[in-house]
Amino acid sequence: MLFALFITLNKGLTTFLTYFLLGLPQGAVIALIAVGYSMVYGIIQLINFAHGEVFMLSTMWVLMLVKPPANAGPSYYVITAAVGIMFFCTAWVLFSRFPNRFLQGLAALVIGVGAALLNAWIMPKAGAEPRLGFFAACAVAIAYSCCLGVTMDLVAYRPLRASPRLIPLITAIGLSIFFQNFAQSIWGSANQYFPAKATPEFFSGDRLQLSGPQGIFWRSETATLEVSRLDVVIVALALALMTGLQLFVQKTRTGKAMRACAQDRVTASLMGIKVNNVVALTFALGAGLAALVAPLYVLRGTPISPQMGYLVGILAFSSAVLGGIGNITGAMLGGMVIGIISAFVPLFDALDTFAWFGAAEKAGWITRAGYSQFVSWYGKPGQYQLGVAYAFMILIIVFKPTGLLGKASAKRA
Amino acid sequence: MTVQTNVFSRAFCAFGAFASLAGISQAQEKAAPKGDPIVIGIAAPMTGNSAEFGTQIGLGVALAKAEINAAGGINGRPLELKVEDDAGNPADAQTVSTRLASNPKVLAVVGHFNSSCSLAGKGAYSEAKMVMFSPASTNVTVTKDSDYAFRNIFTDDFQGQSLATYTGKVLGLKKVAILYDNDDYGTGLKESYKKKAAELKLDIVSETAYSKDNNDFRSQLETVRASNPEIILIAGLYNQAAVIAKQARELGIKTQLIGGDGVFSPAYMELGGKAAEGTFVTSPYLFDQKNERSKKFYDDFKKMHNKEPDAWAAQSYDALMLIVKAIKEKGASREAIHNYMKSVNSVASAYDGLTGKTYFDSEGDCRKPVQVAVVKDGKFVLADKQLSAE
Repeated sequence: MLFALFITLNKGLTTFLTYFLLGLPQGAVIALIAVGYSMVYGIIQLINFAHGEVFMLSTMWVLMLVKPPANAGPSYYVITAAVGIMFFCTAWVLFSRFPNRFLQGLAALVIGVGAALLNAWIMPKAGAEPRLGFFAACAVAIAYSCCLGVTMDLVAYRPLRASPRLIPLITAIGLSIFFQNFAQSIWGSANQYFPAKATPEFFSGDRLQLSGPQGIFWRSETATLEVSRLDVVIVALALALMTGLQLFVQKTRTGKAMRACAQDRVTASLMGIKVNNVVALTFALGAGLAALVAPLYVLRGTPISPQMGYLVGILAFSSAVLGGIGNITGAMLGGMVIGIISAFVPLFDALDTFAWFGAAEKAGWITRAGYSQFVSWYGKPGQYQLGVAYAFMILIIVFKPTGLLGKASAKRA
Repeated sequence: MTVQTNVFSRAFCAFGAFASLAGISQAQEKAAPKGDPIVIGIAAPMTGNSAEFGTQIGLGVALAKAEINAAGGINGRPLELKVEDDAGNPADAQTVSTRLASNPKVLAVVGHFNSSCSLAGKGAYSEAKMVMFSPASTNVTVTKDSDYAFRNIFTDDFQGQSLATYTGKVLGLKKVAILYDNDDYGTGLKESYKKKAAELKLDIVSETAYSKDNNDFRSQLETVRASNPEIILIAGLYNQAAVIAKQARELGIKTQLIGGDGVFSPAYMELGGKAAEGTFVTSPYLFDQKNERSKKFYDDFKKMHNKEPDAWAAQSYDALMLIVKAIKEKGASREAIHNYMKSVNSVASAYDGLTGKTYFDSEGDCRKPVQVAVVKDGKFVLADKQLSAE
């Protein structure tokens, strides 16, 4: 609040809102990914470092469905096989109530092979037109990512459920590296975007104008704000998803089961809750949320590359910690805070437009030459955009180790 | 049976390859002279991250060699190239430079490509009193502290000055916003730009930094927009520059963009799409279909290698040709080549090559005007207005 007042007093309300609206969608995306970290941590106390890579792979799925490859290669078969395995594992978990292991395997196999064949059909061949439109591709990518989440849990984490907490953590880091290399070997290491003709025109349309009365604050500033349609969609979607998720966790039976598992896994299982299935559902939910925003994030300008998940993942993880890890609302809040704070940092690059800078110069505290010397040594604030966000996180953690909304030992989730 | 066929077909292929090689060399030897070959070393990254650049260098000098030997060689002696791979890696570059310098047959070296490799190799060359002629290393220190290091490409600081001159004198714009990457390249380019801009009385209205780790530059761009510039300098590499261009256009900032050779990559247009259109970029060399010489090189190169040449092919072609000229005029020894290179020190004595007039200052740097490219229909083409030679 103080910060908002400070910016508004110095630069006017329009400036404040402009930067605020730039940070909001960024924060919304980070928040939705942070939820994935927080939910999983809430239930099995595991920091799933491969979550950022799920986000990255979600963009890759969309890319491969809307952009025909330049030349046919073995990657086509590798992806199809991977999809088959993912669906097999997911079906295996889904059919865990089957009385007979053989039947369970058979049914899962049918689904896996079916999914692989379907994938082979929907993947565009070299030089051919893609079969799916952008939104259909996004829907498929969400399904793939949910299955990837479940597969990850089944293959990498479930066998380690009883081992010390450090072991699955190492596995998570290993998975993260594996996914990065997998993506690099199949889709290459170069930065890519969705092809222009595949992206829906709605998003690149005119920006929306929001106007208010002239000189809305004490400055005689123009009071027109511009917002891109994509940003509006992202923020609206994020708000809807967050509300939906809260309702799901708080009001439904399954949500109750999730909360029960978060409180005490052993007791929950004694009460007849299938803990493994709840954990699988949590992974699927987290991965699905990440997959939902991933293509929108790319449309906002971040190029697709095997490394993109790492940076986003670290940001989202920090947000989850900032908000209080294990707490879904906290993760959302943390994401928003990190996104918005980092948006304001470059504003300070133009220090001399601040009223107090002039005042400090007059008082002789700062000289212009001294300032430029300082900048040449340590650089401009803009390059520390992420650094400032992390520093804020550290500051909060120092004074409130449980994060903004974390409670010391109360129930999680 | 199958094994036999395989062996047989392989043998046949090998024979075919030999036959065609022999055919080529015969065709060249018709006019080509006899006698001891003159050996020039080529040091470039044939493998590794910069392999694409090294390949172009190799193909460029191969064309030069073919032309020279077809025209009767150097004073009656054939030209031979000794190509070494430095993998774009300073450690390998050191090995390569020692190997070339200790071989008395090698008279001079065209290379290296990466600034770090040129820096790693130059010690061995100066000790052996042998000319190292880089077609691509732009770092300021490459030619420092060595009498034997030369280059026919601009330096990073000269590039920044040229960009400022282009902004102020050629485009006639006064208010500049700078967006720079906080690495050595970005800050170096920015500083040299600012120095020249101060001389030209340009107004730097804002100066905003970004980090390569970030992919959302909207906040920086809002700061830039608030400063109301006439042109935006992006001092960084093509990956981020493309994102910046995209996000600037999305925010409705239609200001002219200009960048250094870090932006000079086809990937800039691939990533930036329509937003990249109209950006000015400095480049070492651009093929101009209107220029007779440029067109001839382009066509010959394509005919010989079935591949399009890039700036590095032209740069290294020129470098080799200049060394050949040195041998023709002063004789075939390391010292003679060095003396000649030292004497090429003014516009009057400049070597008029494919990429322009090349001459060296006391450091061994080349004061060739930078060429300015503009993005047009998704391709870099020569801008209508160019810098004039100093």
